[in-house]
Amino acid sequence: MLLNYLQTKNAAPAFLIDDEGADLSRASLAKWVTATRNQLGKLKGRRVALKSRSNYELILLLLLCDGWVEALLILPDDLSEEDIVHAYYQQSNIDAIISLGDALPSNLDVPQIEWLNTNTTKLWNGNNTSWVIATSGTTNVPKLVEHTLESLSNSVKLDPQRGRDIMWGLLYAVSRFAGLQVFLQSLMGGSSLLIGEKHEDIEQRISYFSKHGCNALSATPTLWRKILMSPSASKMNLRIITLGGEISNQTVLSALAGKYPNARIRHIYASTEVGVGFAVTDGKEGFPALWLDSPPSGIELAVSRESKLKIRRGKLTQSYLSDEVQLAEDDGFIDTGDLVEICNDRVLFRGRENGAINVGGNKVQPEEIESVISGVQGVALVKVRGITNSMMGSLVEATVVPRAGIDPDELRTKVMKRCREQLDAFKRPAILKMVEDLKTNASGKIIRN
Amino acid sequence: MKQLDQIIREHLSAVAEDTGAQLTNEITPDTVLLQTGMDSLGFAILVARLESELEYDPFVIMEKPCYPTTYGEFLAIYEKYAPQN
Repeated sequence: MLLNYLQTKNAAPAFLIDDEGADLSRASLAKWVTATRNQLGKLKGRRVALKSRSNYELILLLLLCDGWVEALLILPDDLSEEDIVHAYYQQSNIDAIISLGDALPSNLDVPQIEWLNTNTTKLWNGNNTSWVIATSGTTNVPKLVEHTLESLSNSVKLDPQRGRDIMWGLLYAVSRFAGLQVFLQSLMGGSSLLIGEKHEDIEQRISYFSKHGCNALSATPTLWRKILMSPSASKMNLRIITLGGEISNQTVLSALAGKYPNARIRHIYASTEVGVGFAVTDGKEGFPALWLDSPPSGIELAVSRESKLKIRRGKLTQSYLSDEVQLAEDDGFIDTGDLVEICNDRVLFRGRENGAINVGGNKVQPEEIESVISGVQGVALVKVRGITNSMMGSLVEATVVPRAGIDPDELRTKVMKRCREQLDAFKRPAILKMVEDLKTNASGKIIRN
Repeated sequence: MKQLDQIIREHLSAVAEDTGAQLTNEITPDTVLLQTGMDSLGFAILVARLESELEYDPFVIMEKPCYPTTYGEFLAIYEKYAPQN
């Protein structure tokens, strides 16, 4: 359990550095976990939802609960609608909701518990707590995936001798898969973790990180481009750079290598369902085509007839919480829904099978934008697709055919106005083209790509 | 022919309007891009629209990729990679 990693020999003595720059040592955190567990005896072996207001609190709750409760549920921070939250509690058979309030390691308060089920007929007495986390979802409601600490941490490097000199900075929400990875790597790898969440502005956060000696960061390619544009980026001496969550293109990989010549750069292929699939460390975009025949240890890779990447793990321990949907196909492969293309000796990513456009980590369904634009008077046809962009991976492009007799320039203004009124900024077309006709296929549907 | 500086500034204003960004009053060569009021989505859109008009994206063709910090650096990158006629 996680508590053991607070007691690892040779690890960096300070684990968490809070937003005031104060250290919380591994020893003091271990003491807090033990004391708090003693005060909350009734919670042991139950199914518990973690409710936190910050990454800092969530990390403390994870340290407290792993290996001690039967299951812990982490919901995304932005999920605020109570009905949905309670539906998730029900689906996960949650007995109690725990939040820290002011029960931080610095004082003696007891965490707050809200009981949903006090029935104690069955009591769990295992070791491996289930970690129930939500997928990032597109337009759908996120699905819950049940992991164990083992399936979540299979790519963590356990080498405290080297890890103790590493100071991670946190740029993701810990409630998300990528943020959990940073937390688990810094804890289990014997390193320290800077939270810095009070600095919302990236420039301020990078400046705070560099002041405290941060030398390892994990972020999306879009966020990395932003970091590279920030004046404080030059002050950091990074040794570990991780990219994930979006397609990492050659420009951002090469720019990072140029700026941080001492860093080990890796781009990760991961999802909440698959866990960490693989990491690419050769500085090139995509992954070696050779891996389709001789994959990295622990996984198998295949490309389906529809050009989708499929991944199989020797032993799959995670599953969707709801029994209706199967995570893997009968042959054990997980269909990732990511389209790939083999170019010479590399396999390159080409976007999502369902047409979803990943705009800086936000997923956009073309149909939603098409329906807004087609509602504008004067629009005959509209097609929305993703276009690759050197600064952001993908952007939204809309192509519009005006009705006969409609002035294209006037229509353009009207379409952009409607999009501003009804769509989030990342969903509005970056490029709006006016054309005379759009190609349609045999069944009369617009050809999307 | 319009100067690159003028073309970029025109697109910058249009993108700001489309994304709802409030640009700082005066943008000089020393202005830090991330402090112009435009976010990274805005810059991505700016680069895409400049590519439509100018028919090149310097960030794709540059042999040693780097990202600009100030407006002056941004403009210099576009000038350096402009097709020679």
